[in-house]
Amino acid sequence: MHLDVAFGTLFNLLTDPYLIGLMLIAVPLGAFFGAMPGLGGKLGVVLLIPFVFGMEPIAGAVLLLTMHSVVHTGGSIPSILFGIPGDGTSTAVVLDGYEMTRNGEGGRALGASFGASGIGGVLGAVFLGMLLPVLEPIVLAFSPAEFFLLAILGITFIATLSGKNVVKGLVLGLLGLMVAFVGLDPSTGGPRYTFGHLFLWDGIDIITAVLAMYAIPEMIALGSGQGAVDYGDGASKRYKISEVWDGILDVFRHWKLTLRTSLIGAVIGLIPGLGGDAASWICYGHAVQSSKTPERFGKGAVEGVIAPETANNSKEGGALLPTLFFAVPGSSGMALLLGAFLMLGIQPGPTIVTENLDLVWTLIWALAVANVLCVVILVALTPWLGSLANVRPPLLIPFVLVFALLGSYLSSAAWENLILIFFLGCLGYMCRRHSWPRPPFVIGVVLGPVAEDSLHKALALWGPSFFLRPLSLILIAMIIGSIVFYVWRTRRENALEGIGHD
Amino acid sequence: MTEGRIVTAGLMFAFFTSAVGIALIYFPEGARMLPLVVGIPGVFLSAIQLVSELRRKESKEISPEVRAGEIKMIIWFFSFASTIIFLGFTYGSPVMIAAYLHLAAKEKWYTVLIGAALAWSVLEFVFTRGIGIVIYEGIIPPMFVVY
Repeated sequence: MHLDVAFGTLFNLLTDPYLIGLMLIAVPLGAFFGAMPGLGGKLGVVLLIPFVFGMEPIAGAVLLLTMHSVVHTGGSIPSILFGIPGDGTSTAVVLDGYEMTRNGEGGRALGASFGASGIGGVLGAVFLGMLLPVLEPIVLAFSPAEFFLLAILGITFIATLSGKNVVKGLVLGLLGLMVAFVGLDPSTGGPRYTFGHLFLWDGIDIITAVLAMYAIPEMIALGSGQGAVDYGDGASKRYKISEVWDGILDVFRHWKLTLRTSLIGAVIGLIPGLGGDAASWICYGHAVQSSKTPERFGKGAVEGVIAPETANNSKEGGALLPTLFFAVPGSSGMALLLGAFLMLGIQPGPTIVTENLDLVWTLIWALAVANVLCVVILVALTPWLGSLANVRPPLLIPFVLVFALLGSYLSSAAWENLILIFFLGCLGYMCRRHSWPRPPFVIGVVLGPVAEDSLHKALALWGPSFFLRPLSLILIAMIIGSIVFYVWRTRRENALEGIGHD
Repeated sequence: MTEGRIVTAGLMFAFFTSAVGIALIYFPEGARMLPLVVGIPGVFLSAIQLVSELRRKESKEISPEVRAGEIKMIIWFFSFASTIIFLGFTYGSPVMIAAYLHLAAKEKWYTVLIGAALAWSVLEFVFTRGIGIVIYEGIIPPMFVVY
């Protein structure tokens, strides 16, 4: 293990006022966007993308990752105080967090949530750091053949994990791949789907696709009144820091649960597509099952806050692994980060281990430090957290639209992107409105070039026999396994529904 | 009125059939392989989805207010994009932010002015002068302003 690099980068991060300053800006911003129902952390990252242009790759990546990593911590605030999840991943916290608030223990619930998020985030980063030496030889053993199959596996995983909409998920995943084929063909050099427009020769950039699929549809929905929130009686109440501190101590009182759910969350984060909802619900279920008094859950049990919150933040450590080392983003948030990394000149993939280990360790430490900073900042802000109910998210709509357009323009310095983002944004809104899962599209756009490039290289090196390489066979088995798992799950669900009807 | 879910599924089917058609007709052999490998399953899957949407009877009703709000927001988004294309970010953004805050959000005049000034300041002082990025100038301003 490269201990010198590992601890050298931590020292550099902590002693660099510029990087720490960026983190101090990103943490409250990330927590704020996470805490505002209808906005969400992805929009925060979207807003920051234009600001990282011209930054050093490490500084830009630290800024964006810091913001992304604390979003879930902020997301728990409205879940606990108002019973309204800030984002999808904070839904599990509502069950006991909001009950605690109704029982007069809102401050303690907040403390448990902050403490659990902080520790989960740090342990997730440690998990990633510890996997690094194990992973290095595996990553380096991957050839273009395996990268092609890995890209296919990533799309299959995400599509089959798109809930009941697997056909829709697959269609959008394939559409994402088709969008990625726009531009010059790498083998013949001829233009594909460019319709005579020069700006399309470089392809449709990831940032534009992600902004169109996420930022724009959310703003249209928010502006058309679909994100209206009623904060109820919990609004504007003040909470004491002593109550919050009691909640933080709860995390240490339940240290075994904290450790277990952190580990479960980090492992779930490794699996592309499984993501936050699954991590928090699985860990909530684990907390109920492992409790000696499961009847307390749903009525204000502090473990019901600790378990999903640790998982929510620890999964980010796990999710960074496929994103950085295989360029396979496990979620739409990671796809957004991956696009931003590419824009900053950081090339995720196996070579990052050999060529950019400093950056990898800096990001791992940034993940850990951001979570600690977030706890400190949110604890200090506790008395005013109830005032979040006074913020009017619709006021931010025009600013988000402007910055989304700016991010899209800057990503390839082409004004034509402003036209492209309009049409893709409308498509994104239709998908949102009619329950087409959008993550497979983004993953398709991200993985399309990787898949195509790897396929051409693999065919040039081994011909079609590349499918018979040992690692290829394992990946093919995993692709088939994920489809079989989906079929099995669907049949089981149908059977259970049948029993329910009888 | 044709339901949006059918239109969405139909659009997907149209995308894939056109993409496969274009690949078959216009692309040389080497360049068409992956578009066909991806596009043909796309045609089949989107056709399955379209048929299932056409057969489905039940549909979620949405309120006329939400539908009107959606159309308004899409028009607003179009206005933002087109104004910025013509006026550029430095001039187009404050204009559109002020227009949105005044007309759609019904904000007080000082909120409108602060919003527009904030947008202009960030674009001018943070991006143009601070970071040193050349942001899009638009079609119209270069005709009148010498940069």
